[in-house]
Amino acid sequence: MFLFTVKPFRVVGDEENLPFAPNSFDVITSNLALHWVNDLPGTLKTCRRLLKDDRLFIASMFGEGTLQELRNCLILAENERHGGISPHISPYAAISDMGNLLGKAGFALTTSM
Amino acid sequence: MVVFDRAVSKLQQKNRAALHPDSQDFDYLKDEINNRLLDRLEDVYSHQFTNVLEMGSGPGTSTLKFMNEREDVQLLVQQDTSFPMLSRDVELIPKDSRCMLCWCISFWPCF
Repeated sequence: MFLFTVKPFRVVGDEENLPFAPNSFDVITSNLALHWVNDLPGTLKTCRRLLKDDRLFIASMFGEGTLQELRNCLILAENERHGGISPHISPYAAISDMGNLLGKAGFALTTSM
Repeated sequence: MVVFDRAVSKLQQKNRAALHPDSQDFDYLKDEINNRLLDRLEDVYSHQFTNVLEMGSGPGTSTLKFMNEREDVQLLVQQDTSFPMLSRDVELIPKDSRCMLCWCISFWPCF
């Protein structure tokens, strides 16, 4: 029987408007969720504010080359059928941009991979 | 700059994904990436982690399992835009370990 000692406190809210007091978390993680955030610089700045000093922000998100083959197929097919293209795949952030955004948000010792 | 219609279409997408009967079959990608991500927390020795926030947690079972295995985590806050996502796997948590599921309506984005 797995022992659950940590009680999850689940909040239905928006990543861009997190209702938490500044300086309150030790770790902020995000797993495959930031790629649908509109205001990524603002969200990262909020994360920096919510974190206590000298703590960790670690996240994974879909990046630039995700679904590239699907994007290419849709572009070729739509170009052939309709004579133009329209976006069907979400735009994703490039990894170099993410590094810059983390720096601008106030994080030190950033690693992006 | 508004690229994603988070209040309506992305929310509906997540709600539909959570309410789909087979949705637990497709957790494998998120769980595997989450495991690889949270393994990096093992490398940090300088601080104890008491409060952890997870943004965009989805069902949240794999992070919950990971945080239970660490002794120092006391509070795990899991945030998601979609209510069915957060409540999908509530049965997997034993009754006395369940905490509140609250709704931040005042902070909902206005387009």
